[in-house]
Amino acid sequence: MMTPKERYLTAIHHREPDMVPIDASFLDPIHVERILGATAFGAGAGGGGGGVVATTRKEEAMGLNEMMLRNQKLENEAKRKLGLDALTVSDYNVFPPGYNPRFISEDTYVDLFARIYRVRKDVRTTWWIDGAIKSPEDLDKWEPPDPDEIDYSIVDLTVEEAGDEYPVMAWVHGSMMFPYLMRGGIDKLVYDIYRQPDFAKKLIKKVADVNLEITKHILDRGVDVVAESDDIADSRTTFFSPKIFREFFFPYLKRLIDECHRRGLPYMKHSDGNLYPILDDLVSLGVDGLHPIEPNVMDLADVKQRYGDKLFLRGNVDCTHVLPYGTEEDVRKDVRRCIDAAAQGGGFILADSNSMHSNVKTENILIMIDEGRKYGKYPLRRG
Amino acid sequence: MGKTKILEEIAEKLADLDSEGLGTLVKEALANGLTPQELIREGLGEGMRIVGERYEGGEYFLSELIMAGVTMDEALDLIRPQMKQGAIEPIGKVVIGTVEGDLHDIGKNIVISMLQSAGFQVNDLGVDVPPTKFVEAVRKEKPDLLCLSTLLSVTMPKVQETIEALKVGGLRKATKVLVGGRCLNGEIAEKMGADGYGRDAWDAVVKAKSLMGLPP
Repeated sequence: MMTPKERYLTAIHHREPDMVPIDASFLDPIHVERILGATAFGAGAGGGGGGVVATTRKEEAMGLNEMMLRNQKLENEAKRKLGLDALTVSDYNVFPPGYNPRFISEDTYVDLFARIYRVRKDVRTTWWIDGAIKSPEDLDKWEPPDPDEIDYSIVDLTVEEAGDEYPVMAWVHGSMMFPYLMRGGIDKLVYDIYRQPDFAKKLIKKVADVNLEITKHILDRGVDVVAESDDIADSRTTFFSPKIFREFFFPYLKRLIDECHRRGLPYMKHSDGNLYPILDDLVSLGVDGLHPIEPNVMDLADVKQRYGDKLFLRGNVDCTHVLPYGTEEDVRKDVRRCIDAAAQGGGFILADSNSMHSNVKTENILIMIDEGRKYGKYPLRRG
Repeated sequence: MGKTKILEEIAEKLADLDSEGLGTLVKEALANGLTPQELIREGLGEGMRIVGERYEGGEYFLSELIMAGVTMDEALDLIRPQMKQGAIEPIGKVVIGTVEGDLHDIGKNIVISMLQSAGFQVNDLGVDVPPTKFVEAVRKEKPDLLCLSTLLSVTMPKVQETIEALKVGGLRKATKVLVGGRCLNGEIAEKMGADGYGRDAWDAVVKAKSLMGLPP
């Protein structure tokens, strides 16, 4: 039997391992707690869009880095207990020592990247609501975090715990998402791109430069796969036209991909939504893998058929409807759909279609893994 | 320039997202005695129709839909001072909002631009709108259509709750309900008791018209 690491990397390199690797993207602390019976810390920890914050006096005293280190330990343990094939770290969970978000009202705060979040401490949820960069002057005043100052202990811990047995996937960000969060919405950044392009370019560059340095620090610590997770599409089409992508964003994407390739690391692009309009661009820029190929928006079998030789695919058990609301049979069926569509010949990792967010049923995660193991043995049963 | 020609060019400038060119033409048209109604229905409305077509055809993306909304609003700002209250009879009245618990409004705002350009009068209740507030607005304004938006699967049940609340309030029969948003599809919309589902902003306008029995 292969180790999870051998299994994962074999699949990534487009060969058939002993069985389909199984992975969960961000595992909400609520699942970690249910799986381990232990308590995780903070609100919004690791969740989509960042926004981690302390919710109690005790957590405040602990500090974000200590909270995240404990959460990371629990998450790693939960993933191994579940029998998943990879450990995961996220740039959302690294902070400069002693850092705390700045509250601008009782339930609203600004984070390191000038993004504004709201928190409900009672249910430990945070969500992005706005951006603090309202003008070119705000951008000039914004001091990005110093990548050299940030505490990367969660990465060191995870690489050490993974050893030779597990691959470590690092979820990082580039230039394509934080700018619209910092500006308060895609509509604002699109306006900038059309009407004040120099401002847009300055903002995008500032973000791209910081995130590149943070990524380098994370890669220096010995991770195995890079997952860049700037969301750039909705269910109908991409947020920006290919022309805008090529002029404003892709040069930075290329720089980030090249940095990973220089270190021999595969680069997976994550974005929800319909990426068809720019898939050829992504492939030619050097993207090696794709997640999640959003169900009901893109077709996994079609992407496998057209891009399967160039991209490894990771996904796409439906976490919008099936994992939160589905029955056991719904989950099993969806797992089989994924494996039938994309696992032939390797190049496929079974995972959720975005994350194991808090609304997913924990028992459905167990069912997904169980079915994945039963149905995902190579050689696969054909059709 | 003749009236037809100027309206055609207005449509074209909007479709090409040429704000400056559009502004010049709108001012010229108003000076030449074209009515706000003509400018909106036959000029801007036609322009937005072309934008919708280009979006459907894959030539335009979300970025262009957003800019079309911005460009149209700028033109409307020029036209508005010339409009007498009630001078334009809307083709239908719409109440719209993002359901309770959900703060996402970009999709909803694009739908509003598109509906306005098609001649609908739209009352936007904003985001995080509880069912009671929708019911109150429907009771007061008696719209032809109630449009509900939601992006999150977590807040999806609020769509159904709002529709149920309309029923309880005895308002369901008189109001068509059109829903849209990332987590929905036609099948779910039907299950929730909606009359229609708009898969994107342009489709929402098409469905809105068809629910009211208007030609596309």
